[in-house]
Amino acid sequence: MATHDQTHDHDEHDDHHGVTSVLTYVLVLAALMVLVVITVAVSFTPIPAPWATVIALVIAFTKVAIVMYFFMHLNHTDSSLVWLFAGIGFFWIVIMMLITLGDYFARTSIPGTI
Amino acid sequence: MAQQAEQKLLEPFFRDLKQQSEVNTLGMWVFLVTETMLFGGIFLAYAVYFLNYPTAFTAASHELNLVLAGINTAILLTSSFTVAMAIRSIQVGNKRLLLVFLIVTLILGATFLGLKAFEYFEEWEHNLIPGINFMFPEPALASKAQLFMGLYFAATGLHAIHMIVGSGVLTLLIYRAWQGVYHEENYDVVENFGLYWHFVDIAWIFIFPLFYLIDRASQGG
Repeated sequence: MATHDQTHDHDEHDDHHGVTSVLTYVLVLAALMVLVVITVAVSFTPIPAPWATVIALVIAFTKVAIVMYFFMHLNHTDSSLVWLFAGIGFFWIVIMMLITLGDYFARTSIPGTI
Repeated sequence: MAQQAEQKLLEPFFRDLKQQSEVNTLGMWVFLVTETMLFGGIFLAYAVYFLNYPTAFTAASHELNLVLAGINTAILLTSSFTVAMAIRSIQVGNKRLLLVFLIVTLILGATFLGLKAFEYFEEWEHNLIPGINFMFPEPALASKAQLFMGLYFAATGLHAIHMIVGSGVLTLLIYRAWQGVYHEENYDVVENFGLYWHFVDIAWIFIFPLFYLIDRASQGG
């Protein structure tokens, strides 16, 4: 392509990923802030023991999913490998927590031991 | 002109700039998964001990400064927003805005670290440092509360180290951005730095409720 065509070149190489709008980023930040406020409010609400933690973790994982999808540009990536590793990181923690804590929940305690 | 610039940026073993970008990004994601395992281990240890010593952990958690941590949470979330805006700016070719948003991100990160340092100092004043000056209002819970504080300093200390390293790299990026090195075809470094920064934000998104928000409803006064 010897001819110098500024507009065409710009379109061809424009954004290896798409560009997210400012509004989207602002809405994402607002949503994250709201979720933080909800988390704090829930903490100050009397809720029976396991549920308060469960709710807090569900909100935390939601925030993580939002950050990963919008801020970390998963919404614009063409690469399945990136999605694969993102998913691996996310589910690795979930599986580790679920299985380990599941074991503890299912135990009946022997006096003198944890 | 754009094609010449592309030739300079493209490593010979890549097909095109798009593939090079994708591989660079993938590399950072792989690293972030290893970081997930690092923080995940600490969180799991915390979860296990929390399940076994709920009373002591709840009591110890109430000694932490929720207001400071809340402010820090807002600061970090905003810094993720500003770094995302920085990347967006260079994606549309605005070098000046890139520089502005990177600088704001650094200011927010530095503020976070400053408040964290003050919080650590406060904890030292309140005798909450394990092994150094630890004293606890309810002596029966003291040893378990000390365990909580140990896990707290491990998690937040590791997080703070990540923030410091990130801030250092960010300073370098600001210098490069000021030199005008980055443009629409060349911002992979900024993009991948953003990924790292968002990850550190994610780590804090877990740290905040786990350590600071245990059953505040039961907190007296």
